[in-house]
Amino acid sequence: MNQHKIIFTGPVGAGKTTAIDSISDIPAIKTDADASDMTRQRKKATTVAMDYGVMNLEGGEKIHLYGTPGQERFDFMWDILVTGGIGLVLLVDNSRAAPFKDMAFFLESFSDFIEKTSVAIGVTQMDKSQTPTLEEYYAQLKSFDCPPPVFAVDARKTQDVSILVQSLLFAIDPGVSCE
Amino acid sequence: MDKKPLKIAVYGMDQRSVKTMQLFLKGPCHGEAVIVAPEQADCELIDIDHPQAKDFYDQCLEKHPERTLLALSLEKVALEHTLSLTKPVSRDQFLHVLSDLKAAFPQLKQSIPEAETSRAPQNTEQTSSIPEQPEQPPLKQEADPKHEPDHSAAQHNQAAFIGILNDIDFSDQQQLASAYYQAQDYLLGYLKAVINHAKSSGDVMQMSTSWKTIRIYPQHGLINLEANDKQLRAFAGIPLHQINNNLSFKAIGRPEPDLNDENNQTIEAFIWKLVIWTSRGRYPYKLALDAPVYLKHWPNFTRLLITPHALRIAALLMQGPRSVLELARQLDISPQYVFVFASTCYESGLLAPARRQSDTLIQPVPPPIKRHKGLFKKILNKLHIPVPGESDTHEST
Repeated sequence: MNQHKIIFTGPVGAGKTTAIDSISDIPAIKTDADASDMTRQRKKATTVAMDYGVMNLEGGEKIHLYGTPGQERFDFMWDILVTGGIGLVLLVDNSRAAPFKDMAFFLESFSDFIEKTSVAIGVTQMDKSQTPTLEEYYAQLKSFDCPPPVFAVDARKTQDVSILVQSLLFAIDPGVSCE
Repeated sequence: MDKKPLKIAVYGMDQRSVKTMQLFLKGPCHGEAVIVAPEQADCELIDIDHPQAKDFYDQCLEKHPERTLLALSLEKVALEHTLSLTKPVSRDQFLHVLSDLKAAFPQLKQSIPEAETSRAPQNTEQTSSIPEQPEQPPLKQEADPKHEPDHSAAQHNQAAFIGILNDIDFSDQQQLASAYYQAQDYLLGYLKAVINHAKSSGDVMQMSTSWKTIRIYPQHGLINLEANDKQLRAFAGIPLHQINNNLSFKAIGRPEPDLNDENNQTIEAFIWKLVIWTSRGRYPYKLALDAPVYLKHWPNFTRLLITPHALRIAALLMQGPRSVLELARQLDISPQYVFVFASTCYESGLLAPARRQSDTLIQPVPPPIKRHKGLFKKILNKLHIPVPGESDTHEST
């Protein structure tokens, strides 16, 4: 049976682990370790290998949900992770110092994968930091022929993560519909 | 099956007609609905041919603006907030309306017999026992989170949001062209003008209506209205000329809003909802049906009320300008789904006619058939947006 993946990426503390947990049918498997160096200020623990969750679909198919490690030094794993992926969810922490740089970094890092599939961007922590606004995010995405969806997201809310993933699928294929 | 029938209060019928209706509901309609006292009802049915029908109609709107009205009449009528049933009522016709109504009441979600299959005799006199009334206790109301976006509109509340245009045949071009609204005829138009004034002046505006007072805090991007969404929905669809057009506003300086007041909503989310309930499946008057329109960017769907097919329409429109009719055709959906989406985006400034020459010269191409179509459908079914009351958070482990 085919194995399919949705990849969650973004900087440290953006909510990847929580987002996977929100829609996974199993408690997300975390590979956190005590943070050190650059990540310590953002959160006490960070993902060092990858997070994993799964959505069980009708007919026995599964969608594997993988979260990339938050620290850039693990980026050698990303190519392996995206193989067989059907799309990318990018979470950006709006309270970080330079969220646009973060977004640009991940869009560039996954550009080949995005070219073949699509991306949906969730901006987290907007309640703590209301700027930059979503309008400003779209201004940063001008280079896209078809700008991807960008939503304010609370990664703890299943509904928010669900809408983000749905938008990713519709961005790939607007013709598909649910029952 | 755990059947929870829809509870209907009837007006303008004598005892004999009520009894006949009870038999009709229990027999041919398989108990999908029951007649109950007005205070226990989910919706109301008025015999429009009764001499006092107008009084019943006004009373129903006044007492229970949140309820859907069914108008039973010899001639088809087009009344605001009303689903029309013509006499003699057929089982198919009634089941179709019940299906729409039950979609608006998720607590009653169940399978309704297909109108096209296993047709039962229409003679209601052939059925036997008369049900006691009321048969069921009043429905337990779901907790009504006052202004939390009810994302489930796409799933369960189609009748309430876009289903009132049953008097329009969307396959008829002439009737289709008449399915528009003009914002200035409703609360929407006036409120938008006041909001613009508030934003340009920076002052808090207090708007008075014959109904409620609305405060607009432009610096905080908030609107304060002491009413729940059901009340707002009822008021939004009433043309101003029917409510004395008694509107006014004044600047009240720059007081700080009480940020803990649960009646506060963001201006963006409030206007979005108001447009949905003003449009109700119609399109904005100024928007040409057959001219390409473009979407500036995706609406912030996680913080807005999502109407049926809205994500799909947005996705297709982001691929390039298309007319609203073309969108409906390419997605193979009823035009009113596109109309209500186009209305929300248009009134929010996200959608506009495509002005570039290339937009009109390039014919929109149908979305290519993608791989994973079956898989995507399964994922979307899995991600079915939860209905209100369902938990929307998972405990972190």
